[in-house]
Amino acid sequence: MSRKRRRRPVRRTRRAMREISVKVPLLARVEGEGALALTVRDGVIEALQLRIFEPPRLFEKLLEGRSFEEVPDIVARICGICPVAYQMSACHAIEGILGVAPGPWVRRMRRLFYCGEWIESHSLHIHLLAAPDFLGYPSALELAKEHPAIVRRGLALQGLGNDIIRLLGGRSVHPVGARIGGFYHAPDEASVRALRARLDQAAEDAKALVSWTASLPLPATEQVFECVSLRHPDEYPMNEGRIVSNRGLDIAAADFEAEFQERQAAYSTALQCLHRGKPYLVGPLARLNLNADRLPSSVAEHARASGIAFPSYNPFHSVIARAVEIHCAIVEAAALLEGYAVPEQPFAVPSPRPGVGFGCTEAPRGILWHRYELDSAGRVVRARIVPPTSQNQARIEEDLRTELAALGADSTDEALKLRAEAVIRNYDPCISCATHFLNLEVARS
Amino acid sequence: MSAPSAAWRVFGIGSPFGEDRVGWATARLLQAHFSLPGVCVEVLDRPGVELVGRMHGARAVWLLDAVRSGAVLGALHRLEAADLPVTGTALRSTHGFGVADALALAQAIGGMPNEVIVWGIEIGGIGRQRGAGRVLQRAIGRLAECVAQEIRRKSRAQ
Repeated sequence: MSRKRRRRPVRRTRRAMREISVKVPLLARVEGEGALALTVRDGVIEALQLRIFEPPRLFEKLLEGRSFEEVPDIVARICGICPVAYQMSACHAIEGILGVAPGPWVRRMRRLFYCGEWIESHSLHIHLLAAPDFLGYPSALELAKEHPAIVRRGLALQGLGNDIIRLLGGRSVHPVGARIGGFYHAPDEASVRALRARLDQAAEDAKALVSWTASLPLPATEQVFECVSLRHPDEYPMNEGRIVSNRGLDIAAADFEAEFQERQAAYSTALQCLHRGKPYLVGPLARLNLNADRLPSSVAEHARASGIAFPSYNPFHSVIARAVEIHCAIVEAAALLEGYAVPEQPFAVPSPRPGVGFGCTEAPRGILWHRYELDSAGRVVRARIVPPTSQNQARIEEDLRTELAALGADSTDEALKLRAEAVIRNYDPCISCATHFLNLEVARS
Repeated sequence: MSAPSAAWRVFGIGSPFGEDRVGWATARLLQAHFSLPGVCVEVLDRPGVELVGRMHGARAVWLLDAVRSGAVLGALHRLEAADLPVTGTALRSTHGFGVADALALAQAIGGMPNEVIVWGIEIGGIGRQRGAGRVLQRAIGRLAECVAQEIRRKSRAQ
């Protein structure tokens, strides 16, 4: 529901400058609770704050004192859309401490698990959250009425992603199948065959989706920003790799804290993470900009044919990057399931020992960094989790400044609000771990 | 989990926790103690958007869920899809995607079964973690009977 209220200006200057104050007390089509406050004076954005007011959830404190074995199930609860990412970053960090080597079967299945999450999360975002912005619909429901086949295809892809997560995790929301060292249960061959049989059609659907997103009337803009993602020697990055950027960063996960600092903004309950004091981008566009050469050849070929060249510095090309990553994940999933066999034991057995470990994996929304300190009994002494949305927050504010300035301060309140919403939603922020409509309060002098 | 092939489907919706599990518990009771040939009975863990796919191709669907309306604890509610209130919040966030949102989306994309019946059991609160108490256990039994009778009547009428 949209609420509009006109107020007197907060203050006047001697020169009677024009002051606009836009307040969006509740962001919509995002995951969680956030708001936007904007003050424009004489055509210049004076203040802009992406306010995240969802109460702190304190997961890091909750983990303290818990056995390492409980961590994957607890962190899966942080997000219903990207639980796999939380589980995988935690598993890698803790296995680093315990010296566990899960082996090739687990490695392949973890990558498959991640493919499921990318397919599911990206499909939801493209069809239910982002696409209405680009096609001028007020909601996904209105979009669905006009483009039922597109939405049906999107939901089928999302369902496939969920089924992949379910295959290994037991259920798609807050899965329970992952453990330190591997998985509690290996899927039987018949279930794998049934899933594999769906992937060829899904790959065709994904190709059509890439072409469709590339044909969307996306705003034309080009910005300057740093892209940060993982990079693996051979693969499009999901579970492993070094943290790299288009400005020469190349570090191990263990060195994250030396380069990236979180700060508290008084108006937000989420920490903002900066790279040497500056905003940066994580997520599908950053990943694709830095790793296009790691896409499977059929995926790279189709992406090129779509007419959008990567690297791209138009943030709105994120929606195309998501579609390309869906295609990538489906092709990867098919390859990972070739020659599948049930292993003797789907996990390596860990033994507790003290230490500090780091894990960084590519959640759908970008790199997700974990640090754990364990005691000699394997209990968590300290945990630190830096999710992608806190890393993108400052970049979203920077993007809003650029896009709203380009749109012009003389634009109507509704135009400012719509563009602001589209910019924010384009990042697929997960406020619960991030946004789709805004209520608006405007004061103009 | 691809869509089931049965034309008539019963879905127990909710989570395995607290009073939110009454829809699950009713579906489990139907699976264990009622003979409903040709009817697919499943539990769905907070399906959200996935409910649209699970209903695809069905002619009739019964959805069993926990309800909070202010009625007495354990009261049974029976609604048809058209009776569900349109909240205006549908599709704002995939985190808060509920049954009414799924039905509205299914309708929009042409995937709505001919008949959708929503049965609910009034609960005290989804945060209560003590599981179904005696009142709710009785309600679960009553609901299973009601749904089974409705399906049998419908079957005989065909």
